[in-house]
Amino acid sequence: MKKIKKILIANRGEIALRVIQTARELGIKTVTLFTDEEKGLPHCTAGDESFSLGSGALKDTYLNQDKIVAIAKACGADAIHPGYGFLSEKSSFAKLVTSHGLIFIGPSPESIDLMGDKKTSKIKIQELGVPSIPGYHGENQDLSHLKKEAKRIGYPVLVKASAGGGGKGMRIVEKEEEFEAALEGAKREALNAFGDDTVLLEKYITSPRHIEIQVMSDSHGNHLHLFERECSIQRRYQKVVEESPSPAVSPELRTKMTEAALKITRGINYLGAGTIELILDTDGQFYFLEMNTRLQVEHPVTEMVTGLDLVALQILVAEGGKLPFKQDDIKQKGHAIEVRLYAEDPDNNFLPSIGQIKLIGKTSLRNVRLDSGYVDGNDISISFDPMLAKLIAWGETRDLAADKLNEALNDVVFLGVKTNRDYLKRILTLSEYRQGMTFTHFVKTYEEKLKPGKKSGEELALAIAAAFFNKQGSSSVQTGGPATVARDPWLSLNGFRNS
Amino acid sequence: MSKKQLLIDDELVEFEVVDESASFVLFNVEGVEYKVHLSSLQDGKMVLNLNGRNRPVILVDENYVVDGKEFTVTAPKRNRSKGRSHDLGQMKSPMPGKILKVLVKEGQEVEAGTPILVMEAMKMEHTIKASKAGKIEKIHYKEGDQVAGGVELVKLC
Repeated sequence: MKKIKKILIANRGEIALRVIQTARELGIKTVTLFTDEEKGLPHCTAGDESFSLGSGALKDTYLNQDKIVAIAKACGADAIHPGYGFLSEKSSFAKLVTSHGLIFIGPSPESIDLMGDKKTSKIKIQELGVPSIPGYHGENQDLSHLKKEAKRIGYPVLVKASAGGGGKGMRIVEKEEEFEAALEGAKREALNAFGDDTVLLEKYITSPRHIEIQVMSDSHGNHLHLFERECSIQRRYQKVVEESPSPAVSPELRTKMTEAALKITRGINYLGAGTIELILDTDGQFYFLEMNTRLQVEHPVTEMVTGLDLVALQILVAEGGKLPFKQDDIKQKGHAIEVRLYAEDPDNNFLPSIGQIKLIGKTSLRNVRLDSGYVDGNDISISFDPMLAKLIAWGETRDLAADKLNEALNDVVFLGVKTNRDYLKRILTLSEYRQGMTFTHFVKTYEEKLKPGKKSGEELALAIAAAFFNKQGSSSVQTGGPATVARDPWLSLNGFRNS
Repeated sequence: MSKKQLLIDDELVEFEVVDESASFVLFNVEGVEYKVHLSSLQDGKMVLNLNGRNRPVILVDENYVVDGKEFTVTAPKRNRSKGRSHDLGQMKSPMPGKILKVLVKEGQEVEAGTPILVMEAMKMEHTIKASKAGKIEKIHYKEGDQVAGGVELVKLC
């Protein structure tokens, strides 16, 4: 067992700050990386030391394995935390890190390889007796062959990039006539995002839920689970709302799902934090979707219901330590919901938006957590993911957690950039959400109900009054001195127009 | 009494101020009279009171969050005609990005909603669709081009 003293974080934004938080609590030094374009963002200066990766394409910066390992060696780090995305699921990186005598805070390269490839993972999962969705994962990528396989599986069929994640290179095909165009789009996106346009086909389940099991394993044969998260509500195949427990999972189903997850981690002798993603059909059948061999974006909901620090556990097991509790000691208490604040316009096809964050805002509500990689004044550019922050609330019950989160969204506002904040509030207050009607096509199903309502007279009146008093305040500051004439405040309002 | 106009989220709103002071404003909007009191204003935080209920306001520049609802409130432009006056023939890039695919040809007749081109930005694909039915007069970019945000992509007549 080797105690880690200094961690280099091979990531950026909120997850870099998240790792620093735990490292500081554990008395571990941290090193952050940044690119020239990112100067001014908190992670550039948040650790004990920070190094520039220069500028340019991702392959020269956050994906430049040699450069990152060289920095880690030079600054005397003894471990690398990869965060999520970027190099977190690149086995070559895990190998490179360990070959330089550093600890990779994550699973073995073999586990990453096995689970990272959607084809090999499904073969392994079948061996372990965990069901997976009918599909085609073959080498033959000819259009005619894929078309034949799609027909065999039966429409609707999902086309997915083999190397994929985050919804890139994914298409749902409803009927045979649409297959060719969808395949072409998926391949193009996959080639762009992952440099590999190999695709696989899967049966598309009409009313699925996305349930995932958080797992944690040490190197002493302890394979534990930290219960489920439901992340069914997605847009553009990216998660928007995540929660634990799932309103759709009964105690019996939970036992089955977590047992299946542990069958996998035991079966592949996994190490560290991971997530087994499952698709739950309306009939209670579930299928293995994929395993993410890293920390997830939505890990805070698990932390809030279990009271555990997943990053601390990752570090502990990476050091070779033993998990300090048994399965029965871990309890799922109350309910936690996370929403992802994105810089986007949900009322215009979720188009990403850019701009400057003028004011993030903060909340004083208890058991509410804001994880963000930004501070006031930061610019949102198109170069990175549009996620601005994660806001997480815990309550005794699901309704209380949702109410609290809805309140907290009144305080955390991200003014200056078009965001999905109001849209998230519409989701949290929608009766179908409260009833747990959370299927993966939630956003589409309730599209009409989730549209912004017409402003009420009262809302308009308040907006007018707020602008009135705002201008009045600033004009009185500017004028100062002895007043000569009684001024009509509206006259001093630049641009206010009389008609 | 004086009639005023404000643009609230691009919607032109007309109202009539009946009475005002440093601590309240009384006005008519859409035929209803409202008296809104200013309870406090400090450090970019304002509290209004309407119908006996406190309404917290967070504000920076033209951005307001009133009682949890976000608005942008700006003065109407003087040369602007009433209501919306979008030139529907102009199709602009919604954000900076790269042109991945051009799906139409110059001279082609299109229906409203016909996919015109595919852009990539923020690592995602976005399909730009025809804003109205018409004929593609000019395509300003080709596949692979980088484009800025808000620039005209095609001219549709």
